[in-house]
Amino acid sequence: MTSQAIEFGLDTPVYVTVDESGRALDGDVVIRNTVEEAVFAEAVGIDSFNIGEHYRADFMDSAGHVMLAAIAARTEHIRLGTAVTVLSTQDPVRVYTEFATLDAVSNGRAQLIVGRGSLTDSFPLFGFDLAEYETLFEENLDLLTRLLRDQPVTWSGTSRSPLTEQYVSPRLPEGHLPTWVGVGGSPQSVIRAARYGLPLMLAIIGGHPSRFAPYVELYKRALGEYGHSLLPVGMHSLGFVAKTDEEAVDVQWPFWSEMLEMASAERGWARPTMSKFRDEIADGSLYVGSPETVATKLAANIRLLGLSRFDLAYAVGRVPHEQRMATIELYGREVIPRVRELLEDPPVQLVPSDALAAANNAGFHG
Amino acid sequence: MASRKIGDRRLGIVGAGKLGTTIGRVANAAGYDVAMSGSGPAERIALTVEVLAPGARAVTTKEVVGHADLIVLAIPTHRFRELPRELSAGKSSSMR
Repeated sequence: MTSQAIEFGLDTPVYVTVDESGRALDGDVVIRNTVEEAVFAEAVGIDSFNIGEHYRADFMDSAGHVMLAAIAARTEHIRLGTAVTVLSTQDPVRVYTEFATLDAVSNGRAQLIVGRGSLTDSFPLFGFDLAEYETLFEENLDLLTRLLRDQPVTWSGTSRSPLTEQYVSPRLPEGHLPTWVGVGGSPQSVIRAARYGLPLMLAIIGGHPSRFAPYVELYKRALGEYGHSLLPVGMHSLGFVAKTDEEAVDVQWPFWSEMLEMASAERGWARPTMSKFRDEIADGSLYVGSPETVATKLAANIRLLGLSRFDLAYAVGRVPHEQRMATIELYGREVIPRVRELLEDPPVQLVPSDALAAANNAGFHG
Repeated sequence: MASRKIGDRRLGIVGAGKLGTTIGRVANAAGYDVAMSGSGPAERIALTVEVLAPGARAVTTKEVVGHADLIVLAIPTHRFRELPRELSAGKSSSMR
C-alpha cells in the first residue's frame, strides 16, 4: 500500500456565496457554480466531490444527488458522494434508488457518507420527532445496509412500513456504493459503524486532531469485538488554500468569522476571534495557508490518525466562486501531490482499499 | 451504603456519550473516583469507558446512584423522564 491509495476529496454544503462586490448570488447560480467547481476538481486530479444535506437559506444542498448527476454527465473519473446524507430523516429505500441510479449514470462512481447530521431542520420539515433521532438513524442504517448488501430484503421496524422479500431496482454491481458512517464525536456512533462493518468518517472541525485518536482506537477495538477486519478511517476538516499563508488568512478570515458569528447567535457557541482563528490554523483543525503549509499539516495528521481518506471542506462560508476555484486548483495540483510525497518517506501503513468493497459485500447472513 | 462526607472525591455520571465520557476523562484526571452508566447493562458501555474515559468504571445507573452524592446527568433532555425515581431520592438537585 502506498500513499497513492489515500483518497483526497472535496466536501461542500453549497454555501450561498457572494460576488466580488459582496452581494449574495441567487441560489440557482450558486448551484451551477458548484457543478463547475466539481468539474474543475476532476481536471486538477481530485479523487472525489461530496455534497452535504441541509435545509437552510444559506446552503443550497437540499437535493445534492441531482447536482451529482449533473456532475456525473460532465466527468469521467471523480467519485461522487455525500457529506453527509442525513439518514435519520430519509427513507433508506429512496436513498438506495437515488444513489444506485447515480452509480449507474456515473459508471460506478457513487459513494455515500451517512450520518445523523449536525442540524435538526430536517426533523420538522419531514415530520419526524427529534426525540426519535437515535431509533430513526439505527433503523434506517439497518435497512440501507441490507438493501446494499443482501437483496431481497425482509425487514420490519418502527420508522416505516415493513418489507417482505423485496427487491429494489436498479441492482448494484458487487462491492458498489461505498458507504461510510460520518461521526462528530459520539462514541455510540463509532461503535455502530463498527457493528455494521462500515468505514468511519470523522468530522474534525475544531481542536487538535489528536483528540480523536481515542475514537480511532475505540473503532478498531469495536471492529475486533464484532469480528470484522480493519476498515478505513477518514477525516473531514475545513480549510482554504491560497498562494501564500497571508493571502489564505486574509481571504478566509472574514467569511469564517461571519459564519461563526451566526453560529454563536443561533447555537450559543463562543464568538470567533482572530486569535482563535490563528490558533486553529497553527494547532487545530483548520487547513488554511499556502500549499506547503496545508500539505505539511495534513500529512502529519494523516499519519497521526492512520487515515485512508481526507475530505477538505473547502472555502468556509460565502467565499466567492472565483476564489473557490483557485483553492480547488491549488489543492488538486499542489497540496495532494505534496501530501502523497510526504507520506512516502517513511511510508504509511494503510488499510487496503479493497477492504471497502469487502465491507460493502459483508454478508448480513451472520 | 457507604457513608459520604462533604468533599467526597466520588463522581457518578449517567450517560456515556460524547459529553459523559469527556467529563469522565477530565474528572478522573482530576483525581475523582468515577463511575458511569449508559441506558442499558454495564457491559454495553464497557469498551467505550475503557477507551475514552480510562480509569472510570462502567456500571449500571442504579450503581451510579449508590456510588456518589454528586451525579452528572449527561443524557439528552427528552430522556430525563426515563430516569429511575430513586436517582434523586435524598439528593438535592441543581435543576429547578
